Amino acid sequence: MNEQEGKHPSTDLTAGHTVRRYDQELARLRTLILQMGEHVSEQGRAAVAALLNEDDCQAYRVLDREPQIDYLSLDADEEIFRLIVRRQPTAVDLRIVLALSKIAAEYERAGDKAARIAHQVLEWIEETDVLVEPVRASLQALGERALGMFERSLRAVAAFDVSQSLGIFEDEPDLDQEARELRELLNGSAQEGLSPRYAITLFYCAQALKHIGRHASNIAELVIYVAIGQDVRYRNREILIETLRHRGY
Amino acid sequence: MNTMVETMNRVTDALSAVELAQERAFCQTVGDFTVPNPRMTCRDVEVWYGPKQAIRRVNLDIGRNEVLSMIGPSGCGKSTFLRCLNRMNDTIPGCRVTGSIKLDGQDIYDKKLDPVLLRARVGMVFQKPNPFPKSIYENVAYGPRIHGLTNSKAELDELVETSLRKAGLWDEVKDRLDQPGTGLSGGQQQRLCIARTIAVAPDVILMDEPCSALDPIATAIIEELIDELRANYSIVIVTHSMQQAARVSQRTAYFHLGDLIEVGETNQIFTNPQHKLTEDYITGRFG
Amino acid sequence: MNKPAPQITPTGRPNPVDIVRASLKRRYARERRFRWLGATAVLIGLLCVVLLFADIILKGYTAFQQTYIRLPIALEAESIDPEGTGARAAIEDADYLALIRNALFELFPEVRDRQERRLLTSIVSVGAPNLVREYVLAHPDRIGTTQEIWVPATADIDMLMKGHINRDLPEAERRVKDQTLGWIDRLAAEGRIAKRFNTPFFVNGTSREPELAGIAGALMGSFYTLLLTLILSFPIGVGAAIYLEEFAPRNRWTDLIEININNLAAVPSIVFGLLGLAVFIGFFGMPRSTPLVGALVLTLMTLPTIIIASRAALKSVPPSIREAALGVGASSLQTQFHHVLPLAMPGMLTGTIIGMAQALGETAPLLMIGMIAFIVDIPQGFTDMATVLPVQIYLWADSPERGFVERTSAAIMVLLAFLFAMNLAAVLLRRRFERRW
Repeated sequence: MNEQEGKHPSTDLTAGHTVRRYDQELARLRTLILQMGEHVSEQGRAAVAALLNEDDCQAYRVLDREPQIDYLSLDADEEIFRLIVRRQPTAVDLRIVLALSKIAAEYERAGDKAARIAHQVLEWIEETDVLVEPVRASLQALGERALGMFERSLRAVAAFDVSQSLGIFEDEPDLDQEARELRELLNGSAQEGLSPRYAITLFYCAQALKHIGRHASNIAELVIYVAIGQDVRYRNREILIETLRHRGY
Repeated sequence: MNTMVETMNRVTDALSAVELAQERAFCQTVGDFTVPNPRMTCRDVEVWYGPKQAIRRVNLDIGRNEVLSMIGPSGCGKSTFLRCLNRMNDTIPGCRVTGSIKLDGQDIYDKKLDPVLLRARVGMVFQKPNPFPKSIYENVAYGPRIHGLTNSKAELDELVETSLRKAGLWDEVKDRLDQPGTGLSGGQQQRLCIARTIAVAPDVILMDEPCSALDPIATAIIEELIDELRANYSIVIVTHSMQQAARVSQRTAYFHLGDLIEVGETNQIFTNPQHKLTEDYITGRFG
Repeated sequence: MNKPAPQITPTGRPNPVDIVRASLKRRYARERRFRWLGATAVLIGLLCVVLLFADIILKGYTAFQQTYIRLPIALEAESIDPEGTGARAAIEDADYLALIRNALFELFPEVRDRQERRLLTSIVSVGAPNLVREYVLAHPDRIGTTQEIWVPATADIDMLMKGHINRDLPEAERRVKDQTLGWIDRLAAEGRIAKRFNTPFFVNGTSREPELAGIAGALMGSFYTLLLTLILSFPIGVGAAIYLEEFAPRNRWTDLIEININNLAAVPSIVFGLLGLAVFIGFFGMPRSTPLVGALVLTLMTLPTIIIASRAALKSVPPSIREAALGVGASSLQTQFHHVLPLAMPGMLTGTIIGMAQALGETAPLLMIGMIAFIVDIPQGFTDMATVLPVQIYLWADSPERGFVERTSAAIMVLLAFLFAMNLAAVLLRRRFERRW
């Protein structure tokens, strides 16, 4: 394999076409997707803040902004159709367009998760509910982890950067660990004054946060697919990380 | 002092050796150029036009019942290589071919092998449809007639019909076999040329940009035909349309400035080429 | 013209559309001027051709008619066939001039003086006795009767009847004297003088007497010469062209040959005549003044034309046809003969016919090999002494007699007719071959 000397991962993968409009169209599509990602990331942060602070205003704002992501997703789809029709992308361009299309779907679903948390906050949490300290800390840590992974996925997509993706993979065990800990905590705290309804609500939210992290992982897989042309889904993560790190990413 | 100069020389020698090695590496084809049970095998093929080298050390196999497409920018040597396969380059003065090209294990550049016989086994379809200025029937019958493939008029009639049927042209021309072949449309003319080629019952059909002068519908008909012909022949097609290569071929070879850069399954070449040059060409980043 | 004022674009420059519009008129004017210039050139050319043709035709059309005099000739048996045997030799040997003279004297009994009688006799051509002899030979049963026979008048009378001799001139300056004029007028009044179609012009060989001179000899000479030229030059020329174009290796020798062929096409034709004289007559000892030598010389002269035209025709055959033939496994000879030659044939034929037409009109080289000799007999083969049409024209144009002027023009018309026919043949052949795609 001669990817190292043959390909230059540092340069922008969307650039360099003889038809410069093609470059611009690919870049625009990516910008659109990234914009979407940033929205989702903000939504996630706001939803977590609403959950931790029991802030209904914040939650309402999240729900209000949800359609924006949908609109961006429609725009992205249109751009993708146009690109395929006009340019018939091949090789790396084909991978970029396919991956960006899937990434848009991942972002959209991650956005849904943020909205779901906001929904839970408005629907199921009452004035009397008090977030006890260990649970709050654990929830905050999980939120931080998941959104950290998600923001990292944005950076990975921006440059189709394999090493950022690998960073996301490396965070996965921590995410799982934190989600497990929170669940155990919620199990225990049910007896310690949290109403079962509140516990279940928090459990749902934790689940949603974990899924946001999972979406970040899926995006990382797609970024690697774009960059090295191999589908790395359903592979043993540890071996994958080992191999790619060894190759110099 | 002397020893310094010597050392310097040795260093420069070593450097140029490294450069040479790099150049070699450049010439090295990426991907597996062999196929099991090949129809034709080309090893270390080099072509020179006078002092100018047109093809450098190409190794490539052509499988049975497969369509191999050759792509690359203009002047990359793909047509030159194609014309080596049935010795059409013999007609160009000053053209020299080295290395070995074997058809079913027999070297086609062997002195004992008659190029006329070779061209009966390796047929060729050209860029511009070039039917003879004779009737449709005569166009197809010409090859079998000069080779004496049939014994009677009835047999020849039958061969003409089957050839035209295989080329998907029979229904369109059966009522006007005595009319000039040049009166057909561009796509029909090209199919007539294909019928003329398969009338001689070749093993391999070479096609040099067969659709470049045709409209999309005629192109689609020819592509469909190529896919059908694959059942009985090995087909090597040179094309400038990458989409066409992706559509019709099972394997693709990418040529660049006389080098065979990469060869592999068409799917793989068009989704994940291994060589930077191939990728740049395929994605339109060339130049 | 409603010409809008030039608009100024925001950049401060005048709008390009206005600049273009301003220059349009000038450009169209230039185009019109050029078209007029071309049309004028064509017109001048046409005018010259029309003038030339009109001159030739006006001068020459009268030659197709000839003045004849009808004489009541008494075919007396005692002077034609005194023994009454009816033998052909005896009839041929008879003195027909005497019979004609007798007939004339019968018509003009008042003419008694010997001098006057000689003058009277001279209104009938010296070829008249031959004509009467042939008449008698054709109708031996009419011997002993008196027959009205049309005999040709002499050239001066012919000229007079055609209006080329002015009756108003003083007698001393006129070729026809007053006395003769009187006889002619009397004959005309009696209806004994008329213009009839000039058959001898087409069936006779040349002669010193204009009224007897014909082009048959020259035509046959031209025919034999051209036939042989065609037989020799077409296969050689086409063969050479095919070899040079398709088979010969490209090297210094073939380059040299090519240059020489091109140069030969530009060599003055008289040089070929000199060569023919030195080589064919001097060295090989072939008979001079014959179509054989003429054809050899003309072959040398037309070969470059044919080779160059044939090579151009071969070159214009698209290489895709050759590739197609080679691609289905034809050998290179099969490729040539099955595909390339049929396509190149129209061009080759055109070149050949142009070469032939050139040869038909050629004089200079034939003068050198003696085809200028005065030959009355019509040639019967390639080795008979002969002359050709253009040389005949040259000879007649050089003759002082007034009667040859119109014959010269008439011969030119015949030559031109043949050239037209050959060009027409070229066009038709071309069409015929091209129709076979």
